[in-house]
Amino acid sequence: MGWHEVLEGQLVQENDVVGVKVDGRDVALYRVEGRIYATSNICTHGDALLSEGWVDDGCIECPLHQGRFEIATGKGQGTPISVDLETYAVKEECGRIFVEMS
Amino acid sequence: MINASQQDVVIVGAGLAGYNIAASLAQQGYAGAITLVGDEDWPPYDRPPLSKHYQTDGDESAILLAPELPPRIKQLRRRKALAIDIKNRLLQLDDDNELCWNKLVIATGARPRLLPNLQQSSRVRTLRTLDDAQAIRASLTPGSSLLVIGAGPIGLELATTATTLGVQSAVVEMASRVMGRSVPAAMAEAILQHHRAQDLAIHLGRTVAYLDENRGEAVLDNGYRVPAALVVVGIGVLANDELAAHAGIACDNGILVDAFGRTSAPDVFAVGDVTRQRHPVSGRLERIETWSNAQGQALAVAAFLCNPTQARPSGLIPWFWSDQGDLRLQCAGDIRGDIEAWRIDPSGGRILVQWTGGRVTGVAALNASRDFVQLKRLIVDRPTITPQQLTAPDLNIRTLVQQALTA
Repeated sequence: MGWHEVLEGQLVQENDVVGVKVDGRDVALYRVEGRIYATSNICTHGDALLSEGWVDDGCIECPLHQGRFEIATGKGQGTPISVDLETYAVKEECGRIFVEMS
Repeated sequence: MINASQQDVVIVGAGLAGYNIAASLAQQGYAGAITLVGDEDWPPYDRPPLSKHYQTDGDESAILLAPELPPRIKQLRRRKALAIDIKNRLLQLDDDNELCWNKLVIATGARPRLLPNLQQSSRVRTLRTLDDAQAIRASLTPGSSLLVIGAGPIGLELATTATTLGVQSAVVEMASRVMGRSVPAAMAEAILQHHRAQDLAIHLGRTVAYLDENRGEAVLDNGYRVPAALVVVGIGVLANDELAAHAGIACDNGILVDAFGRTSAPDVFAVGDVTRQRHPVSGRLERIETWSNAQGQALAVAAFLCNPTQARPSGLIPWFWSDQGDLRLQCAGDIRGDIEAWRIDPSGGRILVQWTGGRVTGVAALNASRDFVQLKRLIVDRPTITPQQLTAPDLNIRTLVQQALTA
């Protein structure tokens, strides 16, 4: 519950993704156009970590089946994805990243 | 009989490729009716888990491609297509019905090659469908034994999965290496060493001479006996292209298609394992029997059906993955190259990159998904990296690839 401090901001570079554990959950942190985003790190389609995937054009591509999700909204971008990705509130303060778990 | 409206599409084959076209058309609001015809009695499902997760959990609902079919899609199950009438745009089914089509998509897939001298035994099976997987699963009980014939991806996946289920497993392969058609030789050797270190018996350069039915054993051509309560033959597949060939559509070990899945007949398309197409890396006409090809081709054909002037060919670099016990293998591009170099990271992940004519043409990875995803981007048309760069100590592959792509 509440905000969790997870990482130094500089560890998530532009157009990159980093996987972390927050409150026992797998969370992927992204930086797109300077902003930090957070989603579940587990692909809704297969047993794969999105933090091993490819960030491109505001989307994360799963390393296993190449399903794509919009990073900001978690929305699946067509087959093989039929379930959207959970997203989390995230903020960056004083060079630290915080994720909110409900 | 009513004539098909301007855009009614009939898809023959309800595997991944066929389903994806139907789902993609439905999603994009395609104007015509969408009919999906398949000869199995299941909703469309994903085949890769059949040799892995499904064998351990037996959960059919977990492998369905969609919890429910979109209402726009009409699925006909247990229906085999017997003949295509191109002139009158009809598809003849095995229940004496005919379907009218305006666009026809052939996604009939492939069927396992058989070994005629063994196949009459009730202990010998192949693995392609969910029904096959159910039957195999029923035999993989702890203390039982499995002999897989053929050390390709499906055979090695099944054998490693069976081992985790407490089944005594062995693999026999006619060739002198594993995964002969799908990974570079050096990667095949690494995979072989890994499995042997895990006590999976792999007999290379051997065939099964006969089955000793009384003792539940297989006798190899060198006289060696292997426990084999169940024998699974995994020696490749044959394209189900007869339906197309009989209709006069150009086939040559697969239905010949272009980058939009177009066949030699107007308004007839083909996708997935049944097709033979120009391989974007090797330049040869090949059957690309992978999940990612079925996926990518289907999306390209669906886009073309929705809007032929706007559609772009898939442009996908062929790649596949194979989970074998605790190995996750991923391989992209061509398996042959002039030069190759390994990169082994401290956590045990391994990457083999191949170059042809100075360009990166192949990337194969063992337990190195993240680096694979990055390096795969360099295949073919891109500015490239050198073997020296790849093997430099303290390398950040992501940075290297990003620099190469933006150079």
